[in-house]
Amino acid sequence: MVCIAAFIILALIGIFVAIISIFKPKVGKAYLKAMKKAWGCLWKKVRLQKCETGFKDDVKNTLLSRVMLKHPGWVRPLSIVIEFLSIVIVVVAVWALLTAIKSLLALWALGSCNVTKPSACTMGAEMCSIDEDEPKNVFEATGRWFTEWGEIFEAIPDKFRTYNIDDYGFAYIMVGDEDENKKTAVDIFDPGCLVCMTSYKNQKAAGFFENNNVRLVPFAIQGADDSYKFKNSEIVVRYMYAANKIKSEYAIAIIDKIYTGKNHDNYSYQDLINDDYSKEDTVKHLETWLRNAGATENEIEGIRGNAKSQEVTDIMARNRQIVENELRVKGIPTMLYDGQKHTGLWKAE
Amino acid sequence: MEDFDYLGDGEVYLDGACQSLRPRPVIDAINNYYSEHNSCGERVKYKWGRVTDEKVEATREKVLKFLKLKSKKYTVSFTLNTTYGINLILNQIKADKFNKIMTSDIEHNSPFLASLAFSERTGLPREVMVRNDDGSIDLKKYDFKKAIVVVNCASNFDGRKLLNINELEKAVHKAGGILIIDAAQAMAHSADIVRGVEVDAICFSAHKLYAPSLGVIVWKDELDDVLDVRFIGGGMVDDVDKEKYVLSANNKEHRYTRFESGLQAWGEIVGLGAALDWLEKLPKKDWQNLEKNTKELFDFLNSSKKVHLINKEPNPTMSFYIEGLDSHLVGEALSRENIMARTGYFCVHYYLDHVKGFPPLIRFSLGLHNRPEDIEKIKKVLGKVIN
Repeated sequence: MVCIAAFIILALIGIFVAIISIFKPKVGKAYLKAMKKAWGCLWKKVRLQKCETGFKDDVKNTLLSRVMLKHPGWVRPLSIVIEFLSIVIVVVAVWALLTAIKSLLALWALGSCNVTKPSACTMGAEMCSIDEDEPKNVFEATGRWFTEWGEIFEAIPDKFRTYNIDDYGFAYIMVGDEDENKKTAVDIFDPGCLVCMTSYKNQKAAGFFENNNVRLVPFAIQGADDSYKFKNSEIVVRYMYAANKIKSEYAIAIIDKIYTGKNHDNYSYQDLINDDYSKEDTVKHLETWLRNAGATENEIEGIRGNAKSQEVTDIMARNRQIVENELRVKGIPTMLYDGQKHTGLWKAE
Repeated sequence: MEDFDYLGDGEVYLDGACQSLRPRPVIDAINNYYSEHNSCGERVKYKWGRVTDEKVEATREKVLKFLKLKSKKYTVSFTLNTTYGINLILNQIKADKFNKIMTSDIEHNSPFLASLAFSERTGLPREVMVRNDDGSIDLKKYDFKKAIVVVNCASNFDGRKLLNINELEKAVHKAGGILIIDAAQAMAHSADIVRGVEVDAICFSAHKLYAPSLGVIVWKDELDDVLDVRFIGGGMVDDVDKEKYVLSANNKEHRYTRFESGLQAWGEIVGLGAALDWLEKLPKKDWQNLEKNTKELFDFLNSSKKVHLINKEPNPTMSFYIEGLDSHLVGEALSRENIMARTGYFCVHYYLDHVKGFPPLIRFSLGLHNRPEDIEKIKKVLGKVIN
């Protein structure tokens, strides 16, 4: 919202001048003249030079000179009101300009104009965002405004770097056998994320998994308070890593069922896992799908135990560190491919 | 006054210190030049040119007569304005013949900045003298040895005069210096202060003297001895060879060309002649009217506790500010009532802003065109604003 408001304010000024200039060239010229004068005065003040009468004074005097002749006593209080309003306008204008710049920079560097809540930016890529805490008061909001600048500037060099997949020690699930003649891609996704599901379907339809060495990195998005964005993603991810220890096909079968499968009432399993199933229901379905994929009862028991293990916990913590801090990913799906980092919905070219 | 018959009812013009209104005879003289003898002056043989030459020559004589100076000693040259005149002189002065340049604190930027630029360019030290409240200079406080002194003889914000101009002239000349007077504000209503005083140069603007826009330099012929040639071109030479030239100014008859490079504003010069004629013939009652208006307005402003009047005594030029009110705002309000007055620092930033710390001021500069009803209107409108 904030970034849109800032864009609107700046755009309105520009549109206002442009429209006036088209229909009323004289008024438009006068407006531009006033703008030039205002800028001239501002530029003088920026350089600590004196400006005897500025745009603000011209406007103020035009308004108050009428009052002065009829109600001289009102001049002083009205003058104070105009001064206050002019300060507010300047503060809002400066804020709007800086926020617009910040949003544009964030959109370019991070893929979203909203640094704290990336999915709230309608101009950014479609994604499931890794959100930060909402500020609780004006002081926190002010502090956040400044720290966001830091995040943006930190992310700028990333735009110019080449990502080498092997520099990151991801735990991953390999789709098929590795072929040295194919390019390698890392695909970070959350089982509960709708955009990830769409991406997966697009990739599958385009033969992306057959044409590339794809390393799947299941990732359960967590907020600043460590709670999970999608309630059952954690257990799904745990089962996928545990299953991968026995056979990668078991893990792939789980995600394939979640992203493409439907129950007898034609509801998508992703929706059911996100909204309807309890953790126990989810586990029950995961184990059924493993069984259907050919896993024996012994293997399922092993997977069940391994899913709770410290080893899987460590894998998930390590992946989170890489995703959030080393790659500074603001939303998923995110892919590392061709030396670049791509965040958002994957579309077949 | 019928010579300002173009002034509408209720229109009160109070900015004569910048641009005086032109009386009908002056406007007629300019129109006459354009419609009856438009020509290139001082270089042609045809009829219209001769008419122009006669009028221009007559104007030079009228200026000297107005200032009570003799043509044997002085020459009148025309230029753009006072600032241009002062710069023309200072830019050509041989700095090695002098020890320093001096000006005063109440100067218009015209001499103030020109002297500053001169000092920066030549390396000669610059001294800013402090003028007394009455406008005089304490001569004992300053050493004028080989000094270039550039000062006004009437200020442009309160009209205070250089009361001891005669003593200053003697002191400067005795010490081997030269005295250049900015008479821009004196010429219209206080010319007596400079009349007959044998300074080295007087610079003034005809447009503050009920004449068209024009600058005038009245200069002592001896000044030429301390001038280099730095500004030269058309209309200034008798002969030109590949590598040398002969200045027309070497002959007394054409000495004025020393500061007149290129073609001049002949129509405006003719207009100045008409303005001087008009002033000479002006009935005494018109001067008495100006004096009365000045006194009445001064008393009115001086009587209000909220008005901070800069003037110590009545003068057609008076500046003030009203406690708690922005002068630009007051100026705008007055303008809504057709009262036209200047606001700001009137190019006297150093003294008014930096020395005195005044806020921007309002300046009323009365002229011979102002009617008693103008003063009544000012009192009525301003009275409402003040109270």
